[in-house]
Amino acid sequence: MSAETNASRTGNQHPRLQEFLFSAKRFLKNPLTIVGLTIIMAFAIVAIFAPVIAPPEKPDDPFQIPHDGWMMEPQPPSLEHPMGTLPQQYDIFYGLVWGTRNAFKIGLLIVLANLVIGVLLGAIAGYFGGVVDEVIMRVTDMFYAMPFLVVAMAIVVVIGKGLTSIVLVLIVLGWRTYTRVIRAEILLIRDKDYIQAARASGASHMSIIMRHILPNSIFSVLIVASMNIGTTMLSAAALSFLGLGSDIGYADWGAMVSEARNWIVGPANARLQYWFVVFIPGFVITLFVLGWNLLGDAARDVFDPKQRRR
Amino acid sequence: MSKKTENLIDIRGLKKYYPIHSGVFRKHTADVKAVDGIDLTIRKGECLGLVGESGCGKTTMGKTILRLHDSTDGRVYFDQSPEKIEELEAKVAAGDLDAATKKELSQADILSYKGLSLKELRKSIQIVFQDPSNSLNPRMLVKNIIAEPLMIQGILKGKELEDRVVELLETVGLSRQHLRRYPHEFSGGQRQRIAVARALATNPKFILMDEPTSALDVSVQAQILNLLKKLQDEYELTYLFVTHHLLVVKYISQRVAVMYLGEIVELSETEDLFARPLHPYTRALLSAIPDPNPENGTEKIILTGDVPNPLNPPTGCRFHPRCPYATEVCRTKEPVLESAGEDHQVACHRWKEMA
Repeated sequence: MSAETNASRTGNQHPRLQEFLFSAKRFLKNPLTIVGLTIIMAFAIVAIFAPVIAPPEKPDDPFQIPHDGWMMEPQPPSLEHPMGTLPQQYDIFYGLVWGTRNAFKIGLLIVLANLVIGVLLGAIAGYFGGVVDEVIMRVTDMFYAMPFLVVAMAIVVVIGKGLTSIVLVLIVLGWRTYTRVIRAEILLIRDKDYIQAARASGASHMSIIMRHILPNSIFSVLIVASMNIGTTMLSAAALSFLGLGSDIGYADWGAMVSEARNWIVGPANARLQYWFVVFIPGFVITLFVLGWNLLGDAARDVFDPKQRRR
Repeated sequence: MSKKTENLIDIRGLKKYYPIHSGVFRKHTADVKAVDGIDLTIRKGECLGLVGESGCGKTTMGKTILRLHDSTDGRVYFDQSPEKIEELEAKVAAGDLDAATKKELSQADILSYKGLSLKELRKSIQIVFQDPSNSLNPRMLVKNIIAEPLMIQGILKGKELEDRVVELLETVGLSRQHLRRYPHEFSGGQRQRIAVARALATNPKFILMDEPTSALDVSVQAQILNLLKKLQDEYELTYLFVTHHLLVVKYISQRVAVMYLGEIVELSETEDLFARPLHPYTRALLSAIPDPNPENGTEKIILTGDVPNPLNPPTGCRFHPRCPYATEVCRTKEPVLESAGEDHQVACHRWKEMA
């Protein structure tokens, strides 16, 4: 029999551990993955050690960027301000360092919330079908029909501008994708015999969903989610840039670019005089998004069952 | 076999219709009559073969008994005394049930079981599916697959659970070393063994075999059949063996029911059926078994036409449009199962003329 077919089997490790090691190995094989991982790790370190890298002047409100006077004209990088200053002399370096924490919060929090809402609704719709499915999916369609900016402005009007509104907008409009993806996936496996076998053994709906349906359908959603962390960051930055985000002086990358809006182009004789106000925060945002996208690609390669070994 | 063995399952008037909704308002316009009024008893300890061509409702009937599909009408009694069944059936036939009878019926008729009683019933009736690559969760370890029914029913825990799983694996010819493997690491035959082990886990009395060998290699089919036969003797199991493979049925079952378009057309002891098929449809089926000796020159009965649409089954005898012996009475009057000798029933108007 096929007892010895698995020659690669190493020792007596638990198969789940083996599976994990196998995935990890594939994960690390791709050089682009290493690049993505390095970028994200670097950002994570900056976020964790923010108080050391850029000690706050007011420890109880570290996200408030300290400013050096009220002069409107941004100042180029100097010893005192290694990345220059924004209008009103807000320190760019400080803003970027503490902004990293906000970036992680935005990306992860929003995607996590979207995942939970989307998977829950999609799983219920796909598994139970019928009227339940119809209702949930039509509501999802309604959310698909909502224009991004209009919803964003509506929410800002209601609860005021700030990072919270941006997070809310992206949660309200983000879950719909996951609902559709997981529902489609569940429709594929809902009538497989192992689901019926579980039912024939008396399993409850809850345990069928948790033990059989989700483990076999969640991976496509996880892939979408990992690719979406970067995109979500971009959307948040865009909203901040449009002025729906935080007030001036708050350590949020998008908001920092927004504050520099009037200084993007320099005077006629030196167009690039204020390059640092847009380029440096913009570059950091790009790097962050790139890191997550590379990781997302890697996650797809590893988890996509259709591309896996048999 | 002795004639008066006890019945484990008694099916009365079982119907399964799939409604068809059409138009903007989803109006109920028609029914697909997958199973249409089946009376059948399954005796304790026997293997009852259920044969018929694809789409005749064999699997639907089995899964309805197992409560995987909801029935449209009918009653299924599981392990009840014949007196009680007759008493209840008489009341049902008389119609107009009072509350006490309804309550009694809901305790005896497994089609009306709910909640806890249904979960309890699940211990006693189990199923083995056709394709084991489909019936085992690809992301679960064999250990957990087999343990699942025991865990759901809360029968065993921890060390005892693992011991029981190993015992089950050994019963079906696998061993402890297979515990921590995923289904995709096994061959088709081994996977079907795992599926059988899972079905045995809760010590059921009845197992529905839903074409358990048709997805397997011919060489492996024999192994699995022998295993099933051995298990049946060892654990005094009762099987309903759904298949379209006649030789498999001949090998494993004591009685055979032939199904056509949602109805039973012939029911008999296996030997008798193969020696003396009475229904024209059964004859056609049996003549389709390949004969290894070309010089026998057995005559094949080739049926014309297709299985009629169960949406709109033919009037009278459902087989009449394809039956070479059909007459006027077949077109108008529906035949019922009638006795045609010891333990042999047939639903045909003209079986006596043709015998």
